[in-house]
Amino acid sequence: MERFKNLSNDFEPNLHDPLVSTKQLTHRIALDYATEDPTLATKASVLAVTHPMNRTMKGDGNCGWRAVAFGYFETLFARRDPTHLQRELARIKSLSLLLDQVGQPEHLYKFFVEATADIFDRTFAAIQNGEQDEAFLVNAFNEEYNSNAVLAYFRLLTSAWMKLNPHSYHSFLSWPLEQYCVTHIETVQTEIDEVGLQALVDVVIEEAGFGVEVFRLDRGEGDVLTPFHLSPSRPSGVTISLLCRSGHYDLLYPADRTINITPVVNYQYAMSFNYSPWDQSVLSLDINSHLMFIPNLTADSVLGVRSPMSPMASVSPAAASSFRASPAQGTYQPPTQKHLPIPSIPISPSMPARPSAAPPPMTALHGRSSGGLKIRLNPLVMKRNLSHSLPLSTSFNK
Amino acid sequence: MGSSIAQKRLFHEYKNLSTNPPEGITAGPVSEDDMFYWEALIQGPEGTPFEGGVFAAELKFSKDYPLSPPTMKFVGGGVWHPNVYPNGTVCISILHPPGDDPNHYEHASERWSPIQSVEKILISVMSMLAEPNDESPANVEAAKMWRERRAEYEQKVRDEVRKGLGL
Repeated sequence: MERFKNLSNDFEPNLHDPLVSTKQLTHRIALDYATEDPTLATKASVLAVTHPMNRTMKGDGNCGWRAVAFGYFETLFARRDPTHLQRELARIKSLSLLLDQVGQPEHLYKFFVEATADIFDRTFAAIQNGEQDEAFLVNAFNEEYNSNAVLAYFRLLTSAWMKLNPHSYHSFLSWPLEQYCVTHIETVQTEIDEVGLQALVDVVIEEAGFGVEVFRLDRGEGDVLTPFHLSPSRPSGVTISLLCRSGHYDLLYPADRTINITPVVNYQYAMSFNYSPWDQSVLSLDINSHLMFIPNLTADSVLGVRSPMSPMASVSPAAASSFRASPAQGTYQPPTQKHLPIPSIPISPSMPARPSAAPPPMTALHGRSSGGLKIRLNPLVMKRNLSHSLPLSTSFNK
Repeated sequence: MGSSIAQKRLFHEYKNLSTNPPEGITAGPVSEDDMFYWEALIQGPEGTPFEGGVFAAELKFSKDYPLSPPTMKFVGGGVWHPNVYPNGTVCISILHPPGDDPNHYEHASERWSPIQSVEKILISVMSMLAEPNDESPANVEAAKMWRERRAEYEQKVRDEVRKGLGL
């Protein structure tokens, strides 16, 4: 008993958890539930397919507020539009008029406006400096005082907005609205509830042109979580996705459907040239390295088979993992597209797993065969069992 | 950045309190070198057994102010009250964030928020002197006496006030 008492006295919950984490695999949530709650584990696994990454917020009573605030700035940064950013800064500053209207003295709130403007300045600088990822924002939101000061401003705006637009909210409350605002919105470290979240989105996020959706991981029917949209009138564009688990909020990131795998595969060849020559003793075959610069042309597709010694075997996991990790590089504009000069060719995401099975590379090859490099494929190439004995035409061997 | 915001904000509050002080309240930093340590004087509210008394208290602010509340403690003793610990520490709901709940206040009671201020705290403490909150006693004996033997409670308060004034 004494031991339990000590354990309980020494317990410091999540003391070292960051206020805002880096991106993490959603699959891990499923693993967390795996032993304790198979229902939630299944749902989390399904969610991990559509939203492979998430970002956790510390459960300090501010998580929902912090998730929305971080999501807002992260989305602004991802757009990398300095004009939009400046417009938003002006709008968010001018919202302090709402606080004046409900009689908040400026000298009590102006520091929170300044802390919020400071995050805008840092975001602006990050865009100007061409920073690749949102690490600067994660750092800024982990500076507890500044980050909480931003949340304090958002809380005050939400409270003022609700007081000025009581008709939109009072029927959803079991408290008089004024009292609700004091005890549930303005008070530090009070969890956001559904009404507060709606009001926060209405006053801070809606005008920015971003949508907000909430996925609730609960015991409701079905394995697929249906998001609840907090701004249904806004056409689907840029959306901040929240994950709600028994009142705790985190951020979710959808799988990036625009990401193209193929350039990544070619990139590997082009950069390294360290593919292993395969069956040279049998073939006396010299692969022309220039071939490897042709988009979508892999050694495997030249040979038409997946050789056990093919470098593809080692490239595939890299390609697959960069596909999984790619949303971490930028949710809405994957930077890989900017930095790879290789034209993107639409191709199904299953491509890296079964490279030899897909016909498009062959088609591309034929299209180019009229160029300086003469490549003529023997139809036998397509037959697996002959691949090692007679794979290529003589013109390729020159 | 945190402590500089706290410092600026406290300086503003001090300026406001000294140019436009609420009735019966004086407060300010003990030394202008340290904005985080204040002294306050509160007059006993009229029509209560505290009437005529002047009660000195110290306020300690953290670097997190105003995101975290200060602590307040009556110095020199003499405040016999259900919501004041025998050592003088004041225990009212707005001095506590929701997570920190030693006395299990009702959910509806007002808590600390960053737009509370020293002025609001001192006004709340004044009204606390007039109307004790029976639901969260910090001084159990005083609470019991206030509830069950009101006349005795009031006499004790008056005696303490006279003692405090050196009468």
